Amino acid sequence: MDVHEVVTHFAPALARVVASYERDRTLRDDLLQEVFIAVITALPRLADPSKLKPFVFRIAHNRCLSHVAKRMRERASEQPLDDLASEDLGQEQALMDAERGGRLLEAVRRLALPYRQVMTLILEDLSYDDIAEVLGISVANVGIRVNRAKQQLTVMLSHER
Amino acid sequence: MNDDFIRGLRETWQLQNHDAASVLQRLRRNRWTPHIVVATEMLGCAVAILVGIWFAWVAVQTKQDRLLFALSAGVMLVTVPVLTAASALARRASLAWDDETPPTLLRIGIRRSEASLQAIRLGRWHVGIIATFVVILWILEFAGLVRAQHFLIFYTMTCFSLSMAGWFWMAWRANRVRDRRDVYIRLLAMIQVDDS
Repeated sequence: MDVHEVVTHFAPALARVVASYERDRTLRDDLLQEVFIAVITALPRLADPSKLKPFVFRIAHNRCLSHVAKRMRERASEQPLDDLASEDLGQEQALMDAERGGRLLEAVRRLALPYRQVMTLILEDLSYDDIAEVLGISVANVGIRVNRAKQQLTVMLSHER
Repeated sequence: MNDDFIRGLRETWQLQNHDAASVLQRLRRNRWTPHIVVATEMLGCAVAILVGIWFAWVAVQTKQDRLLFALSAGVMLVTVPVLTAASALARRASLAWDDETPPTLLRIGIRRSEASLQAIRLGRWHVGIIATFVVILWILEFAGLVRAQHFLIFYTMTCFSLSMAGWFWMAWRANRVRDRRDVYIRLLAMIQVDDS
């Protein structure tokens, strides 16, 4: 796969990951572009092509984490990150609430950061091994976090029905 | 994880379309931007080196203001290439961060912030050293050991204004770096949940 194919292939998945971190449309587009540029620039450093998927998602999560850090600094407030992720639902959310995908995205956004990270990767078809590699945690910890995220999502989604 | 619940969520999740096409289009439009930035930096560096060489040549040829031209040549020839190289290295180092895992990335961020704060503290010491030096010069002047009052006034004003500007800039910078470090510490605590 050349650079253009990689970017085009991963674009929808990366857009979903970015959406789980940022609700504002303009900021989301900027962040997505930043992720694309980081992926394009980093691709020549990929030693093992079979690790392309975790490689791309690791870059995306790192960039998203940096974005969250930047947003927290800009707001200069003491509010926790999870509040940052779930505040000010806005018009876009009102429209999206009508859809199942929108409800799921909102539920994923409300998850605490460690659970949100594993859940977005699970939902993008990454294996436990790949998730462990992307996040720098053990496979056992991935399992624990997935179970906790699943429990929280079950509660959130059942409340919204 | 292949239970029905996750399978169902995955299906719903992957149906979402966030329209990455417009971003991809923008990306294609801007694909030359990083190359243009590098080329501009290189061009700027080359121009500065040429001007520096010209200044050095003038310094050798002329008798008037020789020191001024020599100093300007030195600044051009030493500072600009170093700054260009530092900028290129910093860009490369920031890209290397993408190879790290999120906790390592945050730990590196915390370490770099600490290093920056240390550098800023050292910078404040420099201001103190310059101020002490100026005070010593004035003591020497009052003691009659040095006779350069006009130069000392100019020198004091220059040092004072530069030091004040530097002091405020360092205070502002230190606040920003401290905020950044605190955010990294909080984020690190957030992503390190108890998995037992």
